[in-house]
Amino acid sequence: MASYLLTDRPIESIADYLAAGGGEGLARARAIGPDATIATIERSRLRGRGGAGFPTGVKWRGVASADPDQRRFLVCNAAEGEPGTFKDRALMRWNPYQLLEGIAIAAFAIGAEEAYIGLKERYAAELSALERAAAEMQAQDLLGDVPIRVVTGPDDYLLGEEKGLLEAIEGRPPFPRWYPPYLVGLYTDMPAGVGAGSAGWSEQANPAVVNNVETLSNVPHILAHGPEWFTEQGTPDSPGNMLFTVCGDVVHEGVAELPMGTPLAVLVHGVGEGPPEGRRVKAVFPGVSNAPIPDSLLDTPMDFDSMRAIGSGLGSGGMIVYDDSACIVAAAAVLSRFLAVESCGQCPPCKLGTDALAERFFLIDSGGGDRFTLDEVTAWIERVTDANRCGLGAGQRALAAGVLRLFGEEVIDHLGRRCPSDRVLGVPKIVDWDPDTGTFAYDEGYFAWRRA
Amino acid sequence: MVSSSAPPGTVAAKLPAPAPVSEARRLHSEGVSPAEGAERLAGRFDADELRRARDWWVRRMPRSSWDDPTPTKVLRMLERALAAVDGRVPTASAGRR
Repeated sequence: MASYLLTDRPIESIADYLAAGGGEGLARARAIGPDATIATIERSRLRGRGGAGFPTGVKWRGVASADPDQRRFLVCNAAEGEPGTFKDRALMRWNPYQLLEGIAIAAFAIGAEEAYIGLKERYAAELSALERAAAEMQAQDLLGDVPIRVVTGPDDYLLGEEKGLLEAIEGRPPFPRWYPPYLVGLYTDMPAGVGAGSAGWSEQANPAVVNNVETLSNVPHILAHGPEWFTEQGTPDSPGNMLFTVCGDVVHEGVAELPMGTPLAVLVHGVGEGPPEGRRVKAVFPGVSNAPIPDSLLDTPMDFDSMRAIGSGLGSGGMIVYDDSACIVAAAAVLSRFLAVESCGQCPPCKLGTDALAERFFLIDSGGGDRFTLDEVTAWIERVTDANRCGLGAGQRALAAGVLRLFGEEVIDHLGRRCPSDRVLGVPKIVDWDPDTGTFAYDEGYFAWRRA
Repeated sequence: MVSSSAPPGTVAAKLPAPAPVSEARRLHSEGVSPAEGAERLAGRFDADELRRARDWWVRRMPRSSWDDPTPTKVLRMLERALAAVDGRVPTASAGRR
């Protein structure tokens, strides 16, 4: 199976899309009906590409089988915000049609009343690609019968958190709510102050399926070619291809479509062409919410379970590479600072803990840390996940604990000693990709504008 | 080398969890559904105990990983149990949130 998500050239018109077999997935879904469509996705064992790797078919089935009185919604999470990741935006720019077809199929399968695409207002190129594609598909009756609405929100990390995204769709700031979308979806009419188990509460209240852009982009291909075609690639537990972003200290930054289970080294040294000459890879961070991976583990297959087995995670496939000129403590500090800024503050342990951890890592990096600073770091690692509505605090814990576990000696070497590296690290928050130079543009002024 | 002292400004001590919380966690770990678990909790604890436990859990509910569903499942069990014994609940999680 060659690349099917990112084809050789961008799909720029509906004619191109139809010529490449577009529209067959939705036609197939309509022919076999909603239940068989879900069964097809179940048999494909497609797992969500947003980070959790949850089986998509199970998610669809859970919402489709809700009480018939409940309204159902489909939400496409297009608010990609993980540092070091650009794959959803690449997909929306490259081929917005397959995403829209995937949305139409999913909405049809779960019996959705409406479908939403939630993305950041800053993603102008993606928004315009989606609007153009939607108009063309609508004219040819290729969008199905479920209305699709686009909602834009602020450039907050938590807009990409599914419970935060639902809040934004309802017109509020993207502060995550308690319950997951399959329990409490959109526009529930329960009075304020009433929660699970109260009068008027049912098992599911207007449940919503929230799927990532890449997940939904896989759907038309699975319907068109069959689940067996999909499971031929990848690993038995993580079938299919996945988009991986490689950025940071590599010669060639970019997004690549690879079968799941491809070793991380292929992405870093093959696609990324390795670190600059004379340098070696020190660590790869899969986003900001997983433990870093040292050079010695680059042979690890990139699939959900293998990455978890080494104590890290696949995240959304964004791999931030640091070579040996970078200080791992400085990296931990700046990535923790990012999480501290983005923490919404609804759960005090998360807001205080991410901030404290960033501060402690900066202190250690500057040579001002001692063993009591390390004590504080370990204590905050334990506390930062308390009362977390969302997973931001747990991501911080994974990152900080991973740095201590895998790079403990380097951290200890910093105690009472100024870091020999004078390299200043920024947040690898990608805003654009230049195909001519093979490099990403980063949000250089992030801390300035985000603090303002 | 590293001891686990508490960071300044936080509640340091690991206070024992209220009994309904421990019971809810145990039931969840045994695969009992929130509905069934809530029934069992409602049969064992009164409204005050359940309310205190719910409030404690809302402040604590630690996550082991970012996609860990345990916190909300235990919360759900406690909220449902509380609602079963006290119809006047104002619960922690608003319906629209």
